[in-house]
Amino acid sequence: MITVDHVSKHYRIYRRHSDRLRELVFRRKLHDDKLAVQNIDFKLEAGQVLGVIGRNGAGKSTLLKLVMGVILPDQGSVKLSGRVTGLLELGTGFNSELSGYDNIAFNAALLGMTPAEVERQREAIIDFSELGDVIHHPVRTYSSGMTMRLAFSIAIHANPSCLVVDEALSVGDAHFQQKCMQRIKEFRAAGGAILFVSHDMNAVKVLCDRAIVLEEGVTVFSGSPDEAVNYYYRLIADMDKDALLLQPPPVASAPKNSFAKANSYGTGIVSIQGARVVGQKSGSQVFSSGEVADFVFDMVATQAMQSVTLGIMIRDRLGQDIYGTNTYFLGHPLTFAAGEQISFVMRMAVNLGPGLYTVTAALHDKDNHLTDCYHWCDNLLDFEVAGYAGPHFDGLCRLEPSLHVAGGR
Amino acid sequence: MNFALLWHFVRQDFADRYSGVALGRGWLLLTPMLQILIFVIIFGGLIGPRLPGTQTGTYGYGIYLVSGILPWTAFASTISRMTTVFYDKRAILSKIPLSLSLVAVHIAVVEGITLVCTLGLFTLLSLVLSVPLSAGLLALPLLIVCQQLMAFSLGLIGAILMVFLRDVREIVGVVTMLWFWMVPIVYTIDSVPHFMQAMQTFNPAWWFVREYHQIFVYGNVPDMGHVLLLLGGSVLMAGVMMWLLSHSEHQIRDAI
Repeated sequence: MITVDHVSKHYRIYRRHSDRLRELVFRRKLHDDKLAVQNIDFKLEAGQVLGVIGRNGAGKSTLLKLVMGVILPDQGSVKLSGRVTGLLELGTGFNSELSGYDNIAFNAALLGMTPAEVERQREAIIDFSELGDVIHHPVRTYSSGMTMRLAFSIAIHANPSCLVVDEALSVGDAHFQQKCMQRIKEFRAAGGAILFVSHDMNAVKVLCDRAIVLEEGVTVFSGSPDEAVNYYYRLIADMDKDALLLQPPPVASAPKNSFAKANSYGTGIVSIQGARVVGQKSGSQVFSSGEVADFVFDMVATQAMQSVTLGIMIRDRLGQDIYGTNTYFLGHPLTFAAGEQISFVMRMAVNLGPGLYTVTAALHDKDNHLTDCYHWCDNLLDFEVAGYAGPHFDGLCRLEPSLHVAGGR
Repeated sequence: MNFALLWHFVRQDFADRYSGVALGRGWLLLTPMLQILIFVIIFGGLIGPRLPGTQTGTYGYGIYLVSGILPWTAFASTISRMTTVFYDKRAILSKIPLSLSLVAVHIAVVEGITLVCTLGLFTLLSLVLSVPLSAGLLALPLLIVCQQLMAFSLGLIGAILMVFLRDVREIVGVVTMLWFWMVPIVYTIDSVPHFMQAMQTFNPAWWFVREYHQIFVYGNVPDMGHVLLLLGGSVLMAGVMMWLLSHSEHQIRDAI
């Protein structure tokens, strides 16, 4: 499908545009060479998803451009079989004065569709985009979400044999994003190959068969997505050590143990008035791994309420979901009399690896927050796990293996 | 060559110019119509000098002027618009792998179509003014294709150079302005000194302007030898352009 064969690419950085000409005339080197990617080598077969991860400036975009063929490699070669469609050029070439309907033909032609294919797919494209009659309005009247929906719809109907997906698909609302993800999975199941570039490590783990990690233009790791993501985290952690010297970590700016109005919403029938997290031994929000901590939530209801659910989600400094639960799952629905204030404690051993964590809390009805959300507070609390209570371990969470010798000679 | 895509580019180009405008494509005809009328009536009918050896009578000079200006305008604006084409289309070129010449060629086509329209109007006006039409009109399509091929090649060379030197846009502006006065469009070829007449042998613009004069002013059929020279020159220039393009594609794609 895609064969990237020992590809290298330099960019020439000219201080002044006219240096390009001066260099030609005087035969004197007037540019700095910037290595973008070096000796990248991989094969992507039908039905496979290859993840590409790496820090900003690691060469991901250059690699994508090389694969797409919009820039040419200095060394090595990129071989493609079939049509490669990038989901990175969503909406490129849309003419804002023309209607969505008219833009379909041009955009599809840009992606390599023949007029006959466009005619066959037009209805499907319009259906998928969910634009309805708006399709006949000029694109300039579309919201950015609508534009992206149309663009994605055209791209996915271009019937590519390989998709190049850049970054998290920020296409429209959550509903449409899921639809896109579903469509991408179907595409893969039907034998399509996908080159997936993302900072969303969960998506990489879920979607990819293999992943490579780029660092300064070089493939520093190639293997299973899990291992690649771990490798990437180590890279980031190294970078953060340097960054800490220069600026406070992002978590520090989150409100500490205080009610965060800016990050909250909901109907307010029941609301969180205050919250704190306290380690039983340390008595503060910094405690050791394995220590039992109390997560305390002060809540009040404006009217009598039954079966209210309090849910929490602990996230790490990368925003990854680490652990979430709620009183519904745990079989402890909350009941309020009108005007009643309740302090509720969730007590747990925090078997997490050292690091900074945030807690998002929500009050809602039953098991989900979509139907009746009373109060949702993003990053309501933060706490730090530092050091170990009990044996040392590596990684994000403490499992508790039992050890015994099973046999011997 | 992807003709479907080329056609879309052509349509987009017209749409960009005239969408959202009440008269829409009407302006495509209205503006040149006025221009032609002004040239023919003011310079031909009112203050125009008489052209020797023509059957076009009163409007002789006006007809002469317009028959040169129309093809020149198409030629010159093709070149100047194409010079910046890689920059104008960089949003597309940096994301979708398209051949560099494909994103440029629609300009030559659009200007060619515009030329067909303006020449059509001009022919109508000639009929109204009862200027006799020539069988040479049949040669117009070939002539237009040749001159636009020449313009396409020169314009794309400009576009390639522009990647290396931004000043090329201004240079092309100045050169086309000077070039306009180097071609016998406003004046006749016999009214200039000998050396300038001799220079015309090497002036590609004169190669085609001369034939438009033959058709519209003198009622002749174009000299096939001249047309072949024009065709050969255009093909040669296209070859030079293709060679330059293949040698600089790498750098062009990096720069945009």
